[in-house]
Amino acid sequence: MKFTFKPSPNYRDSLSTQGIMRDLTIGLLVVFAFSLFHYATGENLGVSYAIRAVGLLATSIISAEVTEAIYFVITKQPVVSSLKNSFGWVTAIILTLMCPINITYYALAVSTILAIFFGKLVFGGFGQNIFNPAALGRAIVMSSFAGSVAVDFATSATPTASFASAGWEMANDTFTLFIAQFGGLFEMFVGRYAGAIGETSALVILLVGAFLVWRKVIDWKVPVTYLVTIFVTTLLIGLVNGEGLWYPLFHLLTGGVMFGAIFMLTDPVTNPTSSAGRVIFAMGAAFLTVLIRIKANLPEGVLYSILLMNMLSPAIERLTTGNQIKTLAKNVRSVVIIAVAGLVVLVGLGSTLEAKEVRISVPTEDIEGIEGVAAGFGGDVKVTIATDDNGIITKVVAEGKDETETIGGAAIDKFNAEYFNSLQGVALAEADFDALDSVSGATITSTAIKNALKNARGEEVSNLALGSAYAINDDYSSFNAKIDNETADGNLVTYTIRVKGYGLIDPEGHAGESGHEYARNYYDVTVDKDTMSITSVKMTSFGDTEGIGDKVNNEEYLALFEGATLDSEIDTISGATWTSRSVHAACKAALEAANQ
Amino acid sequence: MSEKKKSSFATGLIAENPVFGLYLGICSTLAISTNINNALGMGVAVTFVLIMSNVIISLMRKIIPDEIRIPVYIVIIASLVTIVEMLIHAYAPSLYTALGAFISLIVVNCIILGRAEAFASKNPVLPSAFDGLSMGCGYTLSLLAISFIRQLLGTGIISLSNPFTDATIFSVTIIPENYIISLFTSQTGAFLTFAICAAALSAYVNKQKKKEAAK
Amino acid sequence: MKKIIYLSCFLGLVCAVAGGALTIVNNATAPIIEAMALESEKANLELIYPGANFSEVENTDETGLIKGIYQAEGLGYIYKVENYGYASTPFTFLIAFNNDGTVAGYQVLSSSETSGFGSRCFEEDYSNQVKALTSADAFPLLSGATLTSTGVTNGIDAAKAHFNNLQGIEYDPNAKAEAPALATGNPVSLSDDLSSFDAKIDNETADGNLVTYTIRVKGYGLIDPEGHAGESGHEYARNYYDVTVDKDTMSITSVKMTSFGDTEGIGDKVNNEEYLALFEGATLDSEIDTVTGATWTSKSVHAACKAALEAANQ
Repeated sequence: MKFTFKPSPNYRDSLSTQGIMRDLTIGLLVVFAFSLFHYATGENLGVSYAIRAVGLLATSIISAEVTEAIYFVITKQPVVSSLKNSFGWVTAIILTLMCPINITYYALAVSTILAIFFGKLVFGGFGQNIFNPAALGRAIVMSSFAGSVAVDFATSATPTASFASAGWEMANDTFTLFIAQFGGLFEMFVGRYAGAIGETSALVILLVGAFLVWRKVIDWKVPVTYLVTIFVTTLLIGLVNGEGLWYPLFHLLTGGVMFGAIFMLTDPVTNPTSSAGRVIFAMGAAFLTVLIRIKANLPEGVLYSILLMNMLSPAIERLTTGNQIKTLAKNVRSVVIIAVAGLVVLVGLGSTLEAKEVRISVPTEDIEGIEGVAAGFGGDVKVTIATDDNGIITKVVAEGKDETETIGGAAIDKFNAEYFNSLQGVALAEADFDALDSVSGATITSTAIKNALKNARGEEVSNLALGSAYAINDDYSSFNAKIDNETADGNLVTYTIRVKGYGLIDPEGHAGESGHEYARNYYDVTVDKDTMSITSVKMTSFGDTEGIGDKVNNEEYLALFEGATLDSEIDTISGATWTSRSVHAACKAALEAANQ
Repeated sequence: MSEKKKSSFATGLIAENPVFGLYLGICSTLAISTNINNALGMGVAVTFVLIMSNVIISLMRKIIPDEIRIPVYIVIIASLVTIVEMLIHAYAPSLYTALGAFISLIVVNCIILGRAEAFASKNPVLPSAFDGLSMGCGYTLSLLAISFIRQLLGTGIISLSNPFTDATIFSVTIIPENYIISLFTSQTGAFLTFAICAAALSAYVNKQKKKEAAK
Repeated sequence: MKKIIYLSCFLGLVCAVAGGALTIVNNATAPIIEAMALESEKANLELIYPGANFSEVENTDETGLIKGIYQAEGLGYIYKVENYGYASTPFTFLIAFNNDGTVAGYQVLSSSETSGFGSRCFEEDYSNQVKALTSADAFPLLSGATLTSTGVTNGIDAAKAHFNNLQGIEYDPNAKAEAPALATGNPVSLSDDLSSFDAKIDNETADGNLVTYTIRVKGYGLIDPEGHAGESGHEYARNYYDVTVDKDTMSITSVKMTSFGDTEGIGDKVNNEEYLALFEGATLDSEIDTVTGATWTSKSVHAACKAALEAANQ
């Protein structure tokens, strides 16, 4: 492939292949250095990650050079000079930067060997290959070694993968929560989020790219065309679906778009020589990237779009070859046709996108502060309140992993993301936790959070979520309380009572409507005949809905009935009203019987 | 005669190896060669059909009218393949399930029609049979070569089982599971392996030719 | 001319010989192949006709639901059916007819249908219903397991078609089993206290002596004291009805449900012309049945009608 791409007459430039590749290597190492910095200082990461990154890079470079050396020995070429002119390490660095940090050494080594051999050497070595060898290597990693990961180096889901599982579409406000997981769009621009080793920092890549363009190492037309085309296409798709400016920006910042634009699409060996050809190449790659992302099941569209366009390079070359001045009009026409066709197809497809339900887990920071616990729907809900030295609340974080994901869990997220903000800046002793909003449909979890907050403050909070109060003297005939047995012990009489609950309550109970098998609830109610009040209530047999009604069978709750008389009003348990009232009914029956 | 036989046998095996030298029958090669059981089964089936079709066509070569020779060859080959398919289905059902549609596709395997046209129709019975045997062996060997590599690198295990009874004859794990390259069990790996084997054979044949020319 | 005849004859001869060879081999191997298929199925077939002599029959089924047809010598035919119900994986069952057309057996082989709903198609109750029928009858659907029972009955229909064709039995392929009648029970009086249903009249249109009220009323989900929303996680809403009252007779002339907000699959049985027709002619003194298993939602109709009648009375 020729490096000159200006029409004749030409003059000798000071560039040389060696110089170009040297600048490219420097640029790549700068990106790598940033990723080392990110690993060494990032949260949940650390120096061990940075060391691993260096180890992976070394592995890849060594594998590449050894493969080439063996090849040169077998084909009887002078080894050292051939190695120098083959620039195997560039492929190795690019490939390493595209892989995730937890890839195994073996996988990277094998992929590098295969990439160098099948991607470059069999075609005739440097300058003769059709496909970008690093892209080929990455494709091999993806297809063979996807499961081959080192377990100690955990990675969290990448933004691309998460967004892809949401269907590449999201409502505007859902996105705000979503992107907060990764620190916001700005953090993504700087590069402090989970992703492949070198792909994350758009900022650093763009700076290096600018440097390389200035040094005339890469042709600016290719990355600019690629990025602009992706931006315009995704902007239109976003507008069609009602999303804001963040949508095209998100596409640009994720999944190695920046990295591919600067370091892979610009590889002069595998892209066409003429300017028009390069523009078509870049546009095609952009359209394919967006197409693969939104319609295929692969979040990483950049990789395959590059390989596919590599395949088409010779054809594009033929389309745009020839005297570049004469064929200018024809080339412009080709470019415009491709641009329009591509946009129409992709925007049309983009409008068919539907957002999928996805639970955004807002990252719960580990903060230091006082803790409180309360019983939620599925398990305990815990809150941590951080205060400054003056007792002013600075941050509140709640967590409850046993709550139902879409109801209680989503409620916790809402509290973390929004409701707790109103507590910041308020003095702990004065904060009114009850005034916090509750999330509708998640009453129990909301109440639990508030109880946990109170508990953190040191208040006595019953683990019960209590609801409306009912008088013992209400009409409980529909509960049909029946006294089976009566044992007297001095002035204390214990009645064994069986009473209908949620399941069997008249008119027909709820048995039919939910399929559960219900039975009566059995209680032992002890009445003090002297005071005509309840001294104790025990539940001996439960026949209502498990997990819901059986919250009533709780010492703390039943203790509320102690001392109750026919005039008392006792709370019910929120969410288990019917079963609670069966206790009321039993107590009423007991008191009335004692009264005779 | 035995010198000629030997060299013609060797030709079918190496220089004119149907798969790597003549590039015939590649489609089923790439699809089947995921393990050596399949390779052996398919190879034996093809060799059998090759020998039988070569013999029959050679026997009839003087009476088959030239204008309809291709249809006649096809009828003969198709019947043979169907018979083989029925036999495999009845006696080696697991092989039948593994090879599936590719047994029927032996009919259009160019090796068979190609050899019938190029050799059997012009030569007496015994040489034709022999030619069928050598081509068939070449085919089987190339299948075995590809399958061995693919099975070894792609699953790490080399195993062989009796197709008639499903009993395992041997099974050796050579590469531990963490180090297998699953690329080779897929079609990509098939193409890559094929390319390497074909290139290796070509290099070898060229070297032989140079040696011959130098003599 | 002579050449062509000679060529055709030659080709024909070759084909004949080839055909002959094929026939011989086929005769030798076909029984073996068939026996293999039968062996693997035998265990299942014995569930219906233990100890019988089985042979496989050609599967001429066009619906694609029948995976195998077996004849038990002298006894009847067994059909292996595979179809989809509610689950994403299909279920398979055997349906067998005796030679006289009566159902010999009905046996599930594999199913991942929802227990308590679709799985009831393979339980005793429904099985007994099926086993009591013949190949000329229409097989019933199971209410509350519509998807699964439709899959089952479609499979049985395919088996019926083949069997009846084979045995020459006449039947009506389009006959549908009667839809299970609405089970009603527990009459409730319109003068009962239905205040907890909180019926509210949104709109009133008069047309001569007929007044139509648009009423929204609480149902199972929202009924006081707290509704059942919290306890089951469903999202409930009010039920909306259009109740028409004849002011002259002070009776209901029609009830239509316009919006349903209770439990799908359970309460919506109420939204049924046949049921709502029960309210026609009702006055404040009438007692109308409720739908079994959907009492609350039924009573929401009562509440709406009561509110309409009381409003008309003013």
